[in-house]
Amino acid sequence: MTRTRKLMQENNAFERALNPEFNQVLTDMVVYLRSAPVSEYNQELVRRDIGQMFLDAQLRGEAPEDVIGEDYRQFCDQVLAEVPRLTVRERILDGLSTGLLCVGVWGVIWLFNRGMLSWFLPGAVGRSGWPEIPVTTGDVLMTVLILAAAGYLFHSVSRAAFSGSSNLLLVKTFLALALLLIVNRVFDNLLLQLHFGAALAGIVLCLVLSRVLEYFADR
Amino acid sequence: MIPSQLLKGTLEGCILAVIRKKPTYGYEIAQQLAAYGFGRIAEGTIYPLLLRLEKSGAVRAELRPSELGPNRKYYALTDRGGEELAAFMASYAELTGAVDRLLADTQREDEEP
Repeated sequence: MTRTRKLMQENNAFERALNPEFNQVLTDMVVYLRSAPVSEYNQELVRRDIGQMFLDAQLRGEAPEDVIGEDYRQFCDQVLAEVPRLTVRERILDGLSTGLLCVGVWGVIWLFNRGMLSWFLPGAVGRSGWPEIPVTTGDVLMTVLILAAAGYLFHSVSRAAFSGSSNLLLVKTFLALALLLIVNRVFDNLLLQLHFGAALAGIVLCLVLSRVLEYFADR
Repeated sequence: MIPSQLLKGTLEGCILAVIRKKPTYGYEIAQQLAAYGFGRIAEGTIYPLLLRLEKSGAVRAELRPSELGPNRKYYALTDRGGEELAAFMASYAELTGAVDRLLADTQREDEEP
């Protein structure tokens, strides 16, 4: 287990002692910190420090605003200004690790949809294929679009952590989903037939490489 | 109550002075400052300054067991922090001397017929 995962588990455990008010504020802060250009380890260190401050304040019968003032975002920005930024090496490793994890997870969903479902329910899925799975231009475009949309949504949600729920974000999510469905339907020309074993090996490789890079990024 | 703008430039040096007494943590620093007449300073104001001091090597953080939750972060002054505190004290003495002279002069002019 990496030092970040260990710290994350410790933070998750002690956060259960926080009351809902403190917990909500800390959750919003963590969501905001997640998209900052600082390492996950440093994010967890800050989370631990603020969590400790909150626990002490809770015992004293204080509210979150008594500890960090009323402008939570400003507090987070002041903290982030003092936390070391990611180096170029860390940025590359972190980006590759996250990218490969996303591709791997998306690959599992895609394989299940194209491989497993079409095997069991060829009529329902419309394109059967087992063990050779057809890959269309739409699949490739959808993979690129869905990863870009996921990254965009992640940053949007993180930046809007203190703004409450956003209807605009919800609309954007639905528009993105609609676009993905259209792309997948329109670009349905066959690119290649991929063997189930090769697809599975590719996915496993992505997930393993992601963990290896995460390990090196965390040192 | 000291205006925050006036406090801004001096708070870091004052935190170093509090930490010099003994290794301490954020809330205790806020309490110490309040006892010296600084008014109520939120722990959230002090935390980013402590991070900055830690980053510059002026203080060293150490985790000590706490009654609840994760270990508490105590800050101790380093040699570099001692040098920074000495520099702050010299600069502050220079500043207060200059302000005192200016204000005394202004007061004298006001009192002259």
